[in-house]
Amino acid sequence: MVKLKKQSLQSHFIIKQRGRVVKIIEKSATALFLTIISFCILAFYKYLNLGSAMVLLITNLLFFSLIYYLKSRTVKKIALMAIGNIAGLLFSLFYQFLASQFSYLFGSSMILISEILFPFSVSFFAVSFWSYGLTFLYDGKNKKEATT
Amino acid sequence: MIVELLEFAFLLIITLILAYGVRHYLFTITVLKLANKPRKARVTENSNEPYVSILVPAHNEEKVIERLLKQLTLLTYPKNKLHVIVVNDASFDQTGRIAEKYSQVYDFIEVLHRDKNVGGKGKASAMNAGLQRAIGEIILCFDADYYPQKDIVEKLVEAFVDPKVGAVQGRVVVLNEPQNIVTRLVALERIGGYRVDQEARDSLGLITQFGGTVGAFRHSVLEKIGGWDPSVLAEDTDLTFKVYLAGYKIRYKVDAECYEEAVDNWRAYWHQRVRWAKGHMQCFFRHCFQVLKSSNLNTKEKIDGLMILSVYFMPLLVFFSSLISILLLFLDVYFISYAWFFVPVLFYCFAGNFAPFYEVGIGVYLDNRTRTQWLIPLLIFTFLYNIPICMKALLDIMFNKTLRKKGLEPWYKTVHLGQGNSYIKN
Repeated sequence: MVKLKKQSLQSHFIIKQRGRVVKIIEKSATALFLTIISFCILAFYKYLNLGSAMVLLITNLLFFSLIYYLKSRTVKKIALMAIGNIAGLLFSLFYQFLASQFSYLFGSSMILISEILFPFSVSFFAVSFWSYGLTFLYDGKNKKEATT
Repeated sequence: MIVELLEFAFLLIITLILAYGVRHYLFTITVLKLANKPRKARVTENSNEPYVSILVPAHNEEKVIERLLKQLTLLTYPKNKLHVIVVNDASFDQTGRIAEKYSQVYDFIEVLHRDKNVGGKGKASAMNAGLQRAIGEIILCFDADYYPQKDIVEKLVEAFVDPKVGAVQGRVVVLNEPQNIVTRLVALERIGGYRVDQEARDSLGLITQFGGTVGAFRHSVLEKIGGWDPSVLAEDTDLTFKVYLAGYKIRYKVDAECYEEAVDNWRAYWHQRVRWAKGHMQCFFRHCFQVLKSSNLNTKEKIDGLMILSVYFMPLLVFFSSLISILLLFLDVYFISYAWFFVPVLFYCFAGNFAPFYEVGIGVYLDNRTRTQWLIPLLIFTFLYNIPICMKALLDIMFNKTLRKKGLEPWYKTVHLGQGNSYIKN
């Protein structure tokens, strides 16, 4: 009887300890992802311009304020946002690289065209990422079905 | 001087667009907060069981009318308190015969035949004819292509316990969603509008819109405001504002679902939306000042009302603001390099049926549909399509106003084929 009680106490302690470790890992991961997001915004400012960095900041705030209410773990949400920021940065840099190559090949008018198209393509990227990203935040239950 | 004017116009439009963006953001947050709260259980044993008349206007609906009538016979609402009036409005197909077949079997179904001399003058006119025959305390409206839930009457009638409630709107869900890309995109627009917009408006005490169908009215209120106006194309928006201006409220019941057949090709989409845009613009000119002056509306209702009334001007404003911003970019105006970036974001915000992408996304999420939201980026095409649609509507209105054309609007109806649906089997 005493042995059983001791065992259950031990398992309770292990579960509690494990919970604490998971919490610490989650908090560290969240901090890491937030740092990544901050670096992405800084990189946007350094390699692109202030306007792009501002748009990224606003988009991040908008997305976070919305997904904050969704039934999913915070670390998952922040991770998704960090991935989005990295992908957005890579997309923008690749776009700039393509624009410079096109302007080198076809003349300086391409710079203006790429400048006009840039915000549209970035918006399209952000919206696409948002809609695909939502898929990872579902709890997978209660799919809407008609009640006739 | 021209540059300064352009700058002023640009900033003005951007402020307006931002106001819409913030409004939809607040709607989305409101609905998200609501979703996290436990829902109140519906009162199942409802002592409030008033006599209900259901109006079904039908003009050449032989492909869909039987499906609706069959479902109406299965309604759980007590049949001795139900009266279905099918207004066979100058149909030249089998609609009348099908309806007649049901009325012979079921006592609570009545068919009102209108020949081409009397009928065929539009949905509003048909509804008024039905209203004259209706004896119910509550009047329900269903389009012939709709497929209501069996307990929809109970759900809609529930809110009439409050004497200030003049009408109740239910949720419209697209029935033929998997049919093709058009129906899928329309379904997304509907989700944004009915899952988020309407619920948020109801919860925030703003102007809840009557959508023309899947709605219930208090008979006395309908009589007081003079029924449907046949001279307006968007008779639903017209009624919405008449109800509010008369001092009543419209409630929204998200769980009272009804399934509709959406347009399934771009041509039909064009015709339907031109009609909606024209009707909405008509209502803007008709109710704009009344809303501002009304003592029955509070400030937030007035602001929301004006935003609803002017919603079909938005695609045009967004389009022109984008053009101006490009022009200012060429003119090298100092603020534009920063402001420029906000234009496309906002431009995109209004993709779809004027619901921003984040609103549609959250609506889809709340419905727990795991893949539907993948099509959200494509809503940009429906939005771009809405620019010429709204342009045509505005030009038509201006043309008609200049020529002082008046009179009844004919049936501009969407053809319903009764094909493909994801919820029911024919």
